[in-house]
Amino acid sequence: MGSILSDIFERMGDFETKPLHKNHSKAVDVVEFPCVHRDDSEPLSIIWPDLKQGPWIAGGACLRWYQCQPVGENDIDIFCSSAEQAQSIIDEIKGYGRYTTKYESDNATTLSYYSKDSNKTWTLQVIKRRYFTSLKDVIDNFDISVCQLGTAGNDWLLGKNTARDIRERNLRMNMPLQPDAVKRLAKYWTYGYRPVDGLLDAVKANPVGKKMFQSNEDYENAF
Amino acid sequence: MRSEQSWSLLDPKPVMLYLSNLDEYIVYWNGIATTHLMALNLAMEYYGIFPTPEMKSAMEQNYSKIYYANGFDTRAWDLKVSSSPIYPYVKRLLAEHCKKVIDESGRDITEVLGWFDYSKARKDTQ
Repeated sequence: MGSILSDIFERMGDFETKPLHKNHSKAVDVVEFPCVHRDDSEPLSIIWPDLKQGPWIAGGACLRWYQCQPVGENDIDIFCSSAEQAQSIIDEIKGYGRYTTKYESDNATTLSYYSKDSNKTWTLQVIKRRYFTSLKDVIDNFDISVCQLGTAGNDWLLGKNTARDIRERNLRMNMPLQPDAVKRLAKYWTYGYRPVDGLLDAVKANPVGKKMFQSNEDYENAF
Repeated sequence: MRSEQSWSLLDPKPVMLYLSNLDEYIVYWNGIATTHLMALNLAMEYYGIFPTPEMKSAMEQNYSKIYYANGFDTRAWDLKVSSSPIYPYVKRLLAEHCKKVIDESGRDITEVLGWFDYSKARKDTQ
């Protein structure tokens, strides 16, 4: 027992003590954004999206906000313009010292962030597999029309069919189908969106749609 | 007993019923009644597509809404529906049958998806 403890203490000595981040243990100065549900303002105040330069929020979280709902159990997917921007956001979130790392891969870093002032938790997924030139570039990458919406907090950007498909609860996928299309089809069908005429036939006719990714799950889940 | 329930004991595949008053679809599969969404997700699990926590919540809410609107033509399951998640229960009831039917179908995921195509649903007579 004694030798184990001395071993541990010896190893601890090898660790360099990093200075704490300037925001460590602090509460966040929360700013409300017109396109973000009030309950989710805190993580957005850390991410601080920017329409021109990124980062941008798009996909499922925006779909909830657009319908005046908080994100709830959904991830907030954060899309960046560069690896440096992605790392800076990760450091900023971690800097408050209230997080756990849910997943870490080359494709994405997924963190659970806890509020200081309430018992709320958010899942923040910083996408690292690909970087984008604009918010339009981000939403053009989604293959489901109701996911083709994004924001930097103050403006909405929507795809061609997005608003109508949200209102009518249509499940429409852009062609050609991307790998793992069946997985996303099942997901959004379960959320109550109904396949538009011809979609199931298109999936059936397209071998790419049923190809499954095994290793890129976190990135793929973002779309 | 609805005729779809009897049919589902003869046809190994799920039998879908559209409830026009609720604008919802339910499924009878091997005599077991469930929602379209639960049956779809159960089938997808055999292809490694598992429901996320949000999907599970959506399924439970959908089931509860249909059940309390008398979509299953019974209110005998109040205790079960109100006390615990239904999806694991439905899964327990149907897992063996579902696996057998999918194995026999040749395991083409798009064929199985086609079983849940709304165009194949019967319409209720209400």
